[in-house]
Amino acid sequence: MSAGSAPAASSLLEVQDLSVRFPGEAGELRAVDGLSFRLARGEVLGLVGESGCGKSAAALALVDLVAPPGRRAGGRILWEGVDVAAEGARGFRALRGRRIAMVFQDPMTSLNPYLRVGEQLAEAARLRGAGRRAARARAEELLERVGIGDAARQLRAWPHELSGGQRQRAMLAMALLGEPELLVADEPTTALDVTTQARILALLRELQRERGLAVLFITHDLAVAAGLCDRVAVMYAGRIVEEASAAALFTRPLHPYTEALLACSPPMDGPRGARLRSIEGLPPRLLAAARACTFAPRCPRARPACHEGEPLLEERGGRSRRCIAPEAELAEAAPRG
Amino acid sequence: MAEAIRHDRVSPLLAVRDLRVDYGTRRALHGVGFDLARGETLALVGESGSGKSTLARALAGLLPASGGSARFDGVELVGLRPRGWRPLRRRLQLVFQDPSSSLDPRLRVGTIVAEPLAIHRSVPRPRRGAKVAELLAQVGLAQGLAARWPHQLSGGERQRVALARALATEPELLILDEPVSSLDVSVQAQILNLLASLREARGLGYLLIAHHLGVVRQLADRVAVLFAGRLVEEAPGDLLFATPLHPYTRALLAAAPRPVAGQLPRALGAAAGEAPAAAEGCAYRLRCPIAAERCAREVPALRELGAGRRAACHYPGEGP
Amino acid sequence: MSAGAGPFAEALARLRRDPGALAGAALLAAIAAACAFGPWLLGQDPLATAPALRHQPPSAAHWFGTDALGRDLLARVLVGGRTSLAVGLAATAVSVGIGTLYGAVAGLYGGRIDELLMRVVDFLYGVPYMFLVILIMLLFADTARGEPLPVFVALGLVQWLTMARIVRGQVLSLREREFVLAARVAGAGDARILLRHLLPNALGPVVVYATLTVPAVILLESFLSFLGLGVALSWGELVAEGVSVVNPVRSYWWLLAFPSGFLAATLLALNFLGDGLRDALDPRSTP
Repeated sequence: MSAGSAPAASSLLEVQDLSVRFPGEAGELRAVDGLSFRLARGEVLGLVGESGCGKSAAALALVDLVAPPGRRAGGRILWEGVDVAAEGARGFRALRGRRIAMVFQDPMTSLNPYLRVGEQLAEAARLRGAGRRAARARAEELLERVGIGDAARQLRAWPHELSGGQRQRAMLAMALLGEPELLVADEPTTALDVTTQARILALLRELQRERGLAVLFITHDLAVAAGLCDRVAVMYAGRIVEEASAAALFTRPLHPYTEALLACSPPMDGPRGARLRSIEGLPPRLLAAARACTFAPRCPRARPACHEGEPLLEERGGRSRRCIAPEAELAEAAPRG
Repeated sequence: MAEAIRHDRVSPLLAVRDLRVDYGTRRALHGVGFDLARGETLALVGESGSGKSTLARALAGLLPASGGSARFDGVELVGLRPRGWRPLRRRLQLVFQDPSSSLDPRLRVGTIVAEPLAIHRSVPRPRRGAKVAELLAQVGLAQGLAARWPHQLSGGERQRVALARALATEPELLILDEPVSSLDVSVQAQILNLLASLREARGLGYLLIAHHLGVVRQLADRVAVLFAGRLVEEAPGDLLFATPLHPYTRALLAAAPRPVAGQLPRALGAAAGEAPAAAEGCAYRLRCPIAAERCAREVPALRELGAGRRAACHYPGEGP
Repeated sequence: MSAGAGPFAEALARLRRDPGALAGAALLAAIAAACAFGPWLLGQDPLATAPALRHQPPSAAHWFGTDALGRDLLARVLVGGRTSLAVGLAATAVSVGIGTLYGAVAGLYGGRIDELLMRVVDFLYGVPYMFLVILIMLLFADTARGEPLPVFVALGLVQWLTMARIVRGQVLSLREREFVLAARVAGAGDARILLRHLLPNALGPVVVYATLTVPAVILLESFLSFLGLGVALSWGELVAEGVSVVNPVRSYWWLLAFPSGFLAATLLALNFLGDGLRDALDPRSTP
């Protein structure tokens, strides 16, 4: 839990102690277990973690789209200081699609394969009150803006006729229709070729700067988060273990998991060792409440105290970490440049 | 590799020349050629539509080639009849990308790993259990896993099982089709390390198909770059990464994300976005930042450029 | 998860949690047990005529009443059940056997073999099935009068068509799955791929369809009996008898009610079981 300061005035979104649970055969899975973070207006926050860390469940919970039998099991979601869940489903509906937009990994499942791209966009525009002609014009304008060349022709295209990159651009266009203040992007470039990814990321940055969008960028790829995000939060076993500005996190990680994650990616530049560092073991099962540090069983820096109690997320100097190992110990590892 | 390994290039393990594969009227591979020496790791890099998976499957005998030649230790694979493939199956194996679909969900791990042994009768039945245990140990899995079903294993464990199965008949060449793409980074590192040690222990050759350049850099001795079914550049790994010559290789390297704050991967090439391959002249010219008039007229041939490098470009090494 | 939970065991566990399937299975078991052991336990002879006792309504002596020849209806229903159930199972077994093999071969080889095999199926589909059945029955009429065998064969021959299509479809979709490709790369031949990989994974829909074929066959057999073409004593036969004595003056309701009730209950039970099996074997259904 972050130090209990009142939400900053510029905080667009504040998540406090969010929990999401899914029933499973062996018991209830705590996919998200006490997640807390703040997102300021116009800020790009990266939520990074490996599969099963809960990042996608958290994203869905933000807009109340966790599919039953999963459920949001606790915590508060504050939008501009106001608890969204207080108004029940209505509160979320007011935000979804208007002030909060979402983009997912696989645009094929987000786009209706039986409707032409233009129709879907125009329909979304009409739902926000535009007349037919205005909706079409808006759809065309947005497609141009996201760089789908020859927008008029693409309007008439079917989703399967577009390439992966084009579909993702169409998704962005749909997301921008409602003039959102926050864009939640869940692995938007993971399924794309690396050259296409580079273009989409550049587009995201342009759009973000142009419109002052806040972005919650969810990814498993630390390097992608490094490029786009102002701040990065690393998730493990349903909660944040470290959060810092991108600059600080990548030059001086202060949590053993972040450190290990950075070390085990095969490097593109610089010296290359015959063996990569790896993280032993497997992520935890998420069934019981954490009574000790969830990473301790795999942590190369674990000490007896780590198995005795849950470390808290402590904020210091503009960054937070959930680890009892002294900062100095981590900082002395070779800095990454 | 810390030190350069001298590979026997005179009699390569795999010699591919002008290999062509068609899907109906669509040509997926346009005359690809390269050599793979014994014990060498050659990486085939490319994005979707590059034909790298097609190439892997054609070389494994899962797809018919439409023309050209591929000789495995002198045996011609193109047009080989099923009977001819049988003995080769022991020496040439394939590991698939997604371990959750490459393992039969209805069979136990032990049965899956033992299957090649049963097919080739290379180990008598009473000794198979021991052989399976040995294989599992070599890929870092506990014996007990032989009794489990695939769905009970994690992604990394399943991929290890796939590796154990591929190694069962002591092959000389493993074709690895995106072996770590569907795995988490931490698990990926484990599997990459495992691949490196297996190769050392057994003198295995790897034909590594991958799109992630970091993975390629970590494992490959030589790298071949594919674009739209054509080989556009080939070079020793370190040279390729240090001084890429073909504009597409340069674009791939520039687009690879690096963990540096604020540094977005660069998108080189025509601002037109994801342009298709050109039908005439150089296939890459519609996306190439230095495409010139000559590129539209003349298909660039794959030329030797010294130091074991080849590139198919009229202006290799130029541009961003 | 326990080390012993294979996919079949898991499906069984899922089945056990399905109340409809359990009820169906229980009902089926009860009916089958009654038909198998009932007549022997009760000591009533279904064929014993007693003209003095004709058309008796249900009573303590005859729980289901008697028919036009004074025969005990309960015994007749139970013995008739043996026939109906046996015919259902046997004919389904025949159709599964033929259909699975046929469809698997068509799906595995594809191309011209598949086309040829499936055109045959399409052609046979076009032939009105009752016509086919009656034809077969007449063919066997001389050699095996009153024997159930021709009925099994006739019904099985008609039902295998759909099974073939189902299996072919399954095999076609499984054929390109990576674990099948992996087996090919390991050097497996067609026979091994079919028997070890394709069929076990195709089993789901086959089992479900087989469970749903049994009631269809029983119904078909009843219809045949109704037409006078069936085996001597079965539920269909009894229903036919029951219908023939329906008249506005005197209602012998028990002659119709009990046989049809058993028939309906069996069909219902089989359908519940079939639905339950389909849910249990479908890995995408919720736990």
